[in-house]
Formats: sequence, structure tokens, C-alpha cells
Amino acid sequence: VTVVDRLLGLILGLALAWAGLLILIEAARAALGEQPWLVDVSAWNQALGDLAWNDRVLLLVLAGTVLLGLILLIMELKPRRPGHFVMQDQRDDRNTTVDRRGLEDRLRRRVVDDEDVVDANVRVGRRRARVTASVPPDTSPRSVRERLESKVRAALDELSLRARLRPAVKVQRTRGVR
Amino acid sequence: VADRPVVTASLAAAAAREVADVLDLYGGAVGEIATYGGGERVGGVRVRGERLTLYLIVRFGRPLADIAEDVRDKVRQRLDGSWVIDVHIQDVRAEQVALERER
Repeated sequence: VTVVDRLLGLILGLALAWAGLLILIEAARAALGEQPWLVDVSAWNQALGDLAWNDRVLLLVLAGTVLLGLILLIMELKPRRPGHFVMQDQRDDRNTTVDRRGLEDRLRRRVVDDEDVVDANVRVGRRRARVTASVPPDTSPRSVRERLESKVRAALDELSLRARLRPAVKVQRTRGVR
Repeated sequence: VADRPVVTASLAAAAAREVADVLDLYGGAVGEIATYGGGERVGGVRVRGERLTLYLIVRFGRPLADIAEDVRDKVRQRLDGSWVIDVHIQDVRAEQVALERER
């Protein structure tokens, strides 16, 4: 979401800067009595004046704008994952924090240290640390899952985070050979 | 020292680097985490009033709380005791990466 935000912010900023510059140029040209450069105001006036509210193109553009606005609104209102987690400390006046990516990486290393795990992905949210681990085809996912769950729980307990994160482990067999 | 944030940041950064489990300080994706002053720049440390925050990349292994405490102890040896020291663990890296860096 941060990447989308930044990208949209950049596009919007560039568009507004370009529009502002264009208006400035057109206003200067009009003041000097010259022909419009890119925006022919009289032609735009004519075209918009001819447009009716029930025009198909107008309705399509409006529907598209509403849809885009709703998508952006939903994206922005969706709760985001915390950027960092606060660790419990003996003193309240200072903070020890761990970055979410750092935490995910630490948990992932704990999981891939397991002899049966080929690869793993960890995604930490507000309440859960979701682990997806891959094991070889001849390994029972159930036994590995329980082991990994206790490993992740131990790793989280060791960190003593203020937020109580619960591990959610999913184990899947890889298709290839070990 | 308190009226020169960049000096404080520099001392704190050097102290943090003395801790064996600290691989590096993290200056942000585009170097936005830093303290400036007198034409100097110290990455990975922010000084705000009497509070300083260290952004660290640490070695995988020991409990992070212990590493943070070691860092605080080292920083306290360099600065006076009035500073509130926040520690932010940005990343945890493997021993192998740590060894490559030390070479």
C-alpha cells in the first residue's frame, strides 16, 4: 500500500504541476494575444456546452471516476499492518522496537532452520504471525506444523512483544524432490 | 554535548558499533534517518531533545532485548546518564552475512 500511495502521490503531483504550468503558459499567451498552445478554450467550451447529462460518454466517465474513487477509498481504509512492534521493557520511558520486516525475517530464519523445511514465508499482522512452510513430498505436514508452531511461539515469547501475536502455521508439500 | 546533536549522534553511533551483535546502523531506504549539523551527517541515529533513537541491523542469534541493553550500556558509557535511549531493530541478518562484512 505504501508503494501504491507513493506512486499515486507522485502521479498526482506531476499531473498537478503540469496542469499548473500549462495554465500559466496559456494565460501568458492569451495576455500577449497569441493563439492557444495546447488548450483551445473556445473549442473546449463548445464541446462541453454540447454535452448533455444523459450522454453515454459522460455517464461512462462518471461511473469510472466513482469506481476509481471507491477502490482508492477501500484501499486507504483497509487497516494496515504495523510497521514495527514494541518490545516490553523494564522502563516505560524508553522504547525498544523491532521492525516488522526484521521480525518476519527473524521468524523465517527460525522456521527454515528446521531440518524438514525447504522454504518458508512469514507475514506478520496485528494479531497473527502467519507462516507458510514448504516441506519435501515425503514428509508429514502435520508433525512439522506442530513443531514449527512451537518454534515460532518460542521465538515470539523470547521477543516479549507488547502485542500478543499468535502463530498460524501452514505447511505444504513441495512438488519437486528434496 | 547536548547542544550539539550531531556530536551526540556520532558518539552514540560509535558506541553502538562496539557491540559485537550490531552489524551496522540503518540510515533508511533513502538515507532519511540521520542527524545533521555543522556540515556533518550521522546516519542511523536521530536526536530529539534528550531522547536519541538508534536504528540497528543486528546479527541473528541472541535475544534482541539483550542486544538492545548492551547497546544502551555502551552508549551510556559515552554519554551522560540523562539521555533516553530508544533502540529500533531494523533488520536481523545471518552470521554468514556478518562474517562477509567483517572481512
